[in-house]
Amino acid sequence: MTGTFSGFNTALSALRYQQVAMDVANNNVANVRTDGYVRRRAVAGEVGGSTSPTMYAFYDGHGEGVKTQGVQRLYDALIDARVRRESSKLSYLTTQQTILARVDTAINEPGTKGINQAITEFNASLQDLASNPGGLAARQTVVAKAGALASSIRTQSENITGEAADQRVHASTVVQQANDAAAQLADLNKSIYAAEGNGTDAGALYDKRDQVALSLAKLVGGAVTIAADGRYNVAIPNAGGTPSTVPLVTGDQAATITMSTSATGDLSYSIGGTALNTAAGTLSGELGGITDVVNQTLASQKSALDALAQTLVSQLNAANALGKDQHGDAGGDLLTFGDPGDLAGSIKVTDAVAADPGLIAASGNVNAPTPPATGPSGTNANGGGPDLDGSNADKMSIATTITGDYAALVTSFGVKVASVNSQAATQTTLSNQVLDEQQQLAGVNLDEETVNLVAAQHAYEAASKVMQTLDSILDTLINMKR
Amino acid sequence: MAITRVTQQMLSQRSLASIMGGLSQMAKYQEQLETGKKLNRPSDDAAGTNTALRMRTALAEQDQYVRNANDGKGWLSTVDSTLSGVVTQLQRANTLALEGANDGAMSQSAAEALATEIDQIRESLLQQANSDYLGRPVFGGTTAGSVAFDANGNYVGDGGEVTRRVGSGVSVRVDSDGRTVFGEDGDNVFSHLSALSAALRNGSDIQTSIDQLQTDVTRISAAQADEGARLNRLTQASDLASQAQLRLKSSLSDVEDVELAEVTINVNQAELAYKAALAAAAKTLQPSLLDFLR
Repeated sequence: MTGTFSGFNTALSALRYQQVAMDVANNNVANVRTDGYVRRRAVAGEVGGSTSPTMYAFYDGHGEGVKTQGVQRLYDALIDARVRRESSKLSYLTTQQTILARVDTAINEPGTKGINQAITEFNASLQDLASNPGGLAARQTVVAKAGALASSIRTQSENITGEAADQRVHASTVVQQANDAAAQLADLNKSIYAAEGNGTDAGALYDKRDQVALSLAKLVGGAVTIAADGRYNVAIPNAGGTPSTVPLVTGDQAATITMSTSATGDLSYSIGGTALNTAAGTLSGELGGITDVVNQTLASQKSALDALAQTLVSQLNAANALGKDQHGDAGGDLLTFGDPGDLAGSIKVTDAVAADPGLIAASGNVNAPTPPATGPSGTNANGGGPDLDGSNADKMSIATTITGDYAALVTSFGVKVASVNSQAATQTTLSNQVLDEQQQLAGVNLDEETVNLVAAQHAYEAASKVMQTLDSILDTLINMKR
Repeated sequence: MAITRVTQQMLSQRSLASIMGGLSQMAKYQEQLETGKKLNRPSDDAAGTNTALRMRTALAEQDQYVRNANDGKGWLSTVDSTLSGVVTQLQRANTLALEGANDGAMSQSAAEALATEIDQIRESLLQQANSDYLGRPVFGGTTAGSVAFDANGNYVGDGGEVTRRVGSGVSVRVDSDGRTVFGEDGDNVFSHLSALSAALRNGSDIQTSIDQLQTDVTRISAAQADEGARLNRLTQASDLASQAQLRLKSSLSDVEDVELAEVTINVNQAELAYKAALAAAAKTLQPSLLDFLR
């Protein structure tokens, strides 16, 4: 037999549960656009008799109502892990894409402002000099075009070194952000552990932690493992050694990443003295993107440009040395480097040639004696002066092989950028799909919440009606003897 | 992809993504229309960029070959017209010499008149031998001086060769060596003419001079033929380079430039896709169950 008043309790439990259901729906609706919010569901649990009936203590009721068994957070750890992984890869690629797009545009090829045009104009000026070796104008043009060629190589080198320098600063910011995120994740691990311990609803903290873990993945990649006690640990690949990863976050302890720059400008990182693996494609996330661009793409582009500058200078100087200048002497250096540590960035016309264009060795008649130059008091009946042979200028115009090298350099960079672009496009699709999957499970659907709300409202009304009915029954019972 | 649940956020994200995608397509084609080029940076088409760079280099080379050939033609034309004049005058000198040889009993004054004309021819030939192109004597090699022969008819050039590059690995000599044309010092046109005029004046035998002048005419004609052949080579090379220029320009345009009709259609298609994305967004973002709960 159930007690007279127990029906009230059943109705009350229904009112309470429906209240919670409405609260949960309300909160879902409120957070429909909140980043990282995972929708909740109020899970109803039936309240009945003893779960283990015995012979003499049996339950003769028909259920004692409902209780809120919990508020469930609808997430899937597997999908979350995939989201972290794919987002980290996407961030790795888009970071590279953004940086490389700037360098790609600054190459200015194919067009009339790049190095290729400067080379062809320089060669053309040498051909003109070959046709007119006596003219000062032709010599000055050669010097000017050589200067323009050197300057276009310097500009391109500066574009690369400037971008690399910016990215080193960028990397230090990212390291700082990652360290902050790691500390935050460790804090959240601690708070969640405490909240779970005292039975507080940790839903908002879980959301926050997943978000911090995601932003950490976007910053440095790494692998998140979930410990048996539910805490998130994050580890990053190290440079060789066993185990192959260094922990960044362990429980409520966060380590810090330290960044250092080598003499050649390569970026490297360490956690607590253990060096991270900075080999191409190892680090992920934004930091991995920056590191690979600075250590690999830009570094190889720069050294290719340095090699190009070296080739140009040695070929031209060698060609110039084979000829005879306007003063009848063997040709000296045409081009030189201002800084042996930065060839492409400091290539220039030698000061001597810039001051005296006559030093360009246009003549190929190295063995012929030079007649005395005609001065104001020239004595040579035939005018005299240096010969007007232009054969060496002609040879110099075809001396450099850098057009081919340069085309190869530009092409390989273009291929690299195009490949990053297409990888990023593919990865965007993949990431969107994974995010969609996550959203399908965790996202709030307003129609669904409206349905939940209306259902809870109806159930609430019905429970109230039950209570009213019980009240009137009780009234009937109390007033029976009158 | 199996969609089990669709949320409002998914819809708005997808709408945004497709609107952005549509816009970025339009931006790409807009850039192509604005610049008129489909290669705006190496990554647009790395292989195409390589081709374009090589073609630009080749085009600049062909431009230079045409310029060089034109310059060379200037030199050779000067040589050509000079040699024609020289041959005519030498033939005149020959006629005068034969006149002097035939008329055994010529008066001293008549001989003097012949000798004077021969002297004038020598002066004129000397002037022609010093013909210049843009200030450089065309028979003087690479000399920096202004003449190829001095007043005594001695060669003062340096014997160098003036060549012009008119094709890949093709250089053509555009001058003629004064000694090959007019003869070595002491045995050249000028000394022969001096000897002739002297012989006429003192009445000695001039048959030697006549023979020498014959040889000179033959040699100069041969030099002229050689120069004509070189002029032909230059003209051919220049024509070839001009044709290559045209061919390269059109190929370069194929590689670098957009086809206007194609891009216009592409822009229209991109616009259509963009509008469709906007329309889809307008449709999917609007309705909700609340519209129907009344």
